[in-house]
Amino acid sequence: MHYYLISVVIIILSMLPFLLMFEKRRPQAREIVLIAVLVAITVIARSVFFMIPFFKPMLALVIISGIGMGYETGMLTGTLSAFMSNFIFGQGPWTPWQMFAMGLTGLLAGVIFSKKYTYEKKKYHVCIFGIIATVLIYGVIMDTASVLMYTGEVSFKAFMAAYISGIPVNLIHALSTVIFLALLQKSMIKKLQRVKMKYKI
Amino acid sequence: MKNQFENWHPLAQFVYFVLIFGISVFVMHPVITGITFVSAITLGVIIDRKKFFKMLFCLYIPAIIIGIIINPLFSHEGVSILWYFPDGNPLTLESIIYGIMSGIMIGSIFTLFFSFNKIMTSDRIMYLTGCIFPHISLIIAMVLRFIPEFKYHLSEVLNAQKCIGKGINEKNVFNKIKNACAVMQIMATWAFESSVEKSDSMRARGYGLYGRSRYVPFKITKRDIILITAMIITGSIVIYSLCVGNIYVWYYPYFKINESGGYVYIVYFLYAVMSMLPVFDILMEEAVWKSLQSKI
Amino acid sequence: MEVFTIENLTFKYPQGKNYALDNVNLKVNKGEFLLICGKSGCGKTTLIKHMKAALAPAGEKSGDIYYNGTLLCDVPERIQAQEIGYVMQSPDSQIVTDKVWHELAFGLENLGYKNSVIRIRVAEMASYFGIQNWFHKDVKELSGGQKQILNLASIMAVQPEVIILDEPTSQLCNIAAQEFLALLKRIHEELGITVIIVEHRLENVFPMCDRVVVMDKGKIISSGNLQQTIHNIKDNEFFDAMPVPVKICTALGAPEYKVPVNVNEGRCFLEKYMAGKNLPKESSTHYIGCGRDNIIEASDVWFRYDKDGEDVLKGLNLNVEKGSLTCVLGGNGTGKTTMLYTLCGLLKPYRGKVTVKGKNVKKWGNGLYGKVIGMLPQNPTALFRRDNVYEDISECIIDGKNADKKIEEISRLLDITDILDMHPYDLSGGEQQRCALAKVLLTEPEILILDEPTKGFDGFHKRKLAEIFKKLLNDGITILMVSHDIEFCAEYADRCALCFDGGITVSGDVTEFFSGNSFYTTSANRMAREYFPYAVTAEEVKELCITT
Repeated sequence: MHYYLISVVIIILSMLPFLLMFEKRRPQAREIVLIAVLVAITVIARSVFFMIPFFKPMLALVIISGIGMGYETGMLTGTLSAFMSNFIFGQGPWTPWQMFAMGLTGLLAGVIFSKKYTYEKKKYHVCIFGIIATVLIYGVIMDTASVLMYTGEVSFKAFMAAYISGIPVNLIHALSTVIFLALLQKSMIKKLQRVKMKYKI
Repeated sequence: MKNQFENWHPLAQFVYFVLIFGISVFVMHPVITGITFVSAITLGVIIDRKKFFKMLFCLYIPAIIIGIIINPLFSHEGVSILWYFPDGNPLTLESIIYGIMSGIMIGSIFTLFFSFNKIMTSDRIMYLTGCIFPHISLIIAMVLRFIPEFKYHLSEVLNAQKCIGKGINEKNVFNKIKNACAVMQIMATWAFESSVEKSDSMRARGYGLYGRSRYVPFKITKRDIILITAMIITGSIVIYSLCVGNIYVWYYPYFKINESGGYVYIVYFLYAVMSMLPVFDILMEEAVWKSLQSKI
Repeated sequence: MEVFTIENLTFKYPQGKNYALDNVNLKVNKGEFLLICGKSGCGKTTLIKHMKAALAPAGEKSGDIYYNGTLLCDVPERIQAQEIGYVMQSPDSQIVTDKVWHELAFGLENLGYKNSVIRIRVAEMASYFGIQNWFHKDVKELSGGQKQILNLASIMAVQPEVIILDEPTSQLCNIAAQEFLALLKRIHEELGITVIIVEHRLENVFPMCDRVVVMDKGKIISSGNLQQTIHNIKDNEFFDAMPVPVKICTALGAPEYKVPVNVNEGRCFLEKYMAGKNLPKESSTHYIGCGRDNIIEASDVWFRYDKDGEDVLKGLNLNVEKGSLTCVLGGNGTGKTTMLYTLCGLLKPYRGKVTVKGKNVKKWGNGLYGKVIGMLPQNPTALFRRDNVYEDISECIIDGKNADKKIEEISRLLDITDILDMHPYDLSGGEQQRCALAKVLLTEPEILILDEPTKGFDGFHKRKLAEIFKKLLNDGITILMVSHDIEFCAEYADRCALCFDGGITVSGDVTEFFSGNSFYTTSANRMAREYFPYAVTAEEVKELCITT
């Protein structure tokens, strides 16, 4: 079980600098409010779509906040959404992993898209990024976590088995992320931009 | 009813959980893990019996069983071969022992999280995160404020949309998704726009000035300090003996455990006392109550 | 000594056509209770926002504002945050944290007070405002009135010199509003704090203030004590917003500068006025609509939210006649909104039956919405999705034929033609409500259901709403609304019902209903009931007094 402990420590250490940087620059009221709103919306979104099985819009919303507000907000929204939704549904050994995976997704979305985003040019890129992020980042990280959680042994076979058995779930998750991104990225990002204008960011 | 463990200072609770989680994940020693398992279950039962048993049967026992089964399927190390799988890989005694141990460990982690979720309420988590991340702790407080507010508005939106014929209880899945997306858009617009007024209110009340302080509603008592010191000392002794190798366990190639002796027993005893601290505290307090009542 | 001195303040919003503030000069004395009122859009909120630099809107600005003799922009932010408290309109949107204690401590934390000081101040505030019983609660468990008291308390915790309030009671029911104002009065009297309050609901606040400033189109048109104000604006259209006793007594020729401002004074005046006059024979104009079909019928409806919870509706019986405007009155927490939702089929009763157009609601399913029932939510923003009003409205058109014509018709009816290209959130509350109403009406309902449609609006918008209702009634639409706005219901409703404890206690046509009650009735009726028990509105009382 050393592996689990070590990996969690590494995960926490890797998130730490971002969080400390955010703290150190003394964020303004509007940034804090906006992050809190994005996190709350992401957590709530789960209950809007609960009657459609497997439809989980959380990652898509994290990606959208990364694109609309930049990598830092994206990362924080991802990390905190995972933390807060586990707050409601119960924390567990998976919490740090989820925080890391969602934070990373938001961070990458921000790094890749936030600078030159226009809906007309980038809509397909974003959708493709959504698939990749869901399967390769979120899916792989969470499957790795479950292997480390359940076996504590690092064997190639165990990992392969986990990844392969995770494919269907991850694909459905990716599909829902893509549908959500396709339907909502335009309007949501527009709304974010309007708020940015209002705040004069 | 509030139990005594809930009255500990958040810092003391945090130290307890970190030490127990750390030690139990650090080593899969039959005695140490066993102690953790027993104390975790006792604590869960004492804190909220009904809910604990529900969770135990629905979630924890299946997880334990998965943990027990998975290991022998993937790990074929070990010298005592019992049987061969159809694909030619051996089933070994060591991998079964390891599997059982990891099952117990998963079980104890899950049960510890049960108590963790019950004890570490939002204001406690906020206090702890606030020690290092004051702004993030404020964000957490705000999210906790927004979620019920948004939920209320969400129900309003769902009703309003339903009444103009755009409800999300449609039978057609496509319409369902479309209408649900509309609800999302309405919610998001409202949330973003109302956030402007929120940040106004924050700034009007002086948020952003230099030298923000933090109000802590918890008071650290002498008792808390004693508890924390005691836990840290015992914890360090246990970790030290784990690192130095007085206490060890091998599963592969064959199962081997450290020899028992006076020193080892003392360490076991210390760990048991530490992991049972909250349980003792709760039970002791109940006993005091009863004796007080019987005197009246 | 003056706390605030405003000299020649002129201000224009970036997109605005007219000046929001036009050469405003105002002095606020220390320890004063100052009321600023005026029609919505007259610039009163803009004015008070300028009194706090953190909230001052962006735009073209000229003129100076002094706080205690120094230019406001030179006053350090810390001092402003500490000494100038600001309470906003909506109880919800200004609360930042999830716990009552944390909210009380928030301002003190920002100012960097030590833990020991915060602990004392919080304890002090909680005791002074009577918060100790809900001190450890989550904010979500509080009622609207409690939330607003919490907002006031958390501002008071930093011990300000001045508190500025922007329509603090507009979202509260009458009882909570009075409770809030009483607290405010107490703070003013016991602590000598300067209070600047903007309000449009003058009934309660008017008698308690020291000075009234009336604004119109960005200018101050009157400033003085109560009697001076009454004198100054006698011929202005804003006079209509004055408390009912003032209106009636002025019309009856009350002596200048001695106009009664509350019901009690009004009664004394009326006693003298009516002395020696012959009372006319009792006459009540009965509503002639009896015998019309019932379009909604609820019989013995029981409902609760949780299986183990308490019953919210307890044997509710209600009939709504076709083509009538029916109002259901009642205080907070009597189950009014639950009743509405049950009648619309949004909530399912566990006993009893609701029928719409003779058909059980359960059997209607989704076919009930659009064409049959339309509901305007209390919060119109629950319907806004797009970035401009036109797109948003057109979403609700059922069939594509004549779409443009339909939108044109509806926007003329609701007077929203000029704002079709605006973002819904850039509109005023009244405009937002009319746009939402447009959406609902485009689904062509036969029955329109409204939840508190007059909450937070001033008399001018209410009158506009009433005009719209009249047109809709002419078109044969049935209107059912719940409200605690007694005055509005008395003036415009056909039938009224009182909701109490999960059932309908009384119902009947308007005059019958109000003249039967003695407390829960309009102030005009309370004032004149000895002489004219059947007169419920100010107009009726006025007329009857003059004609006798």
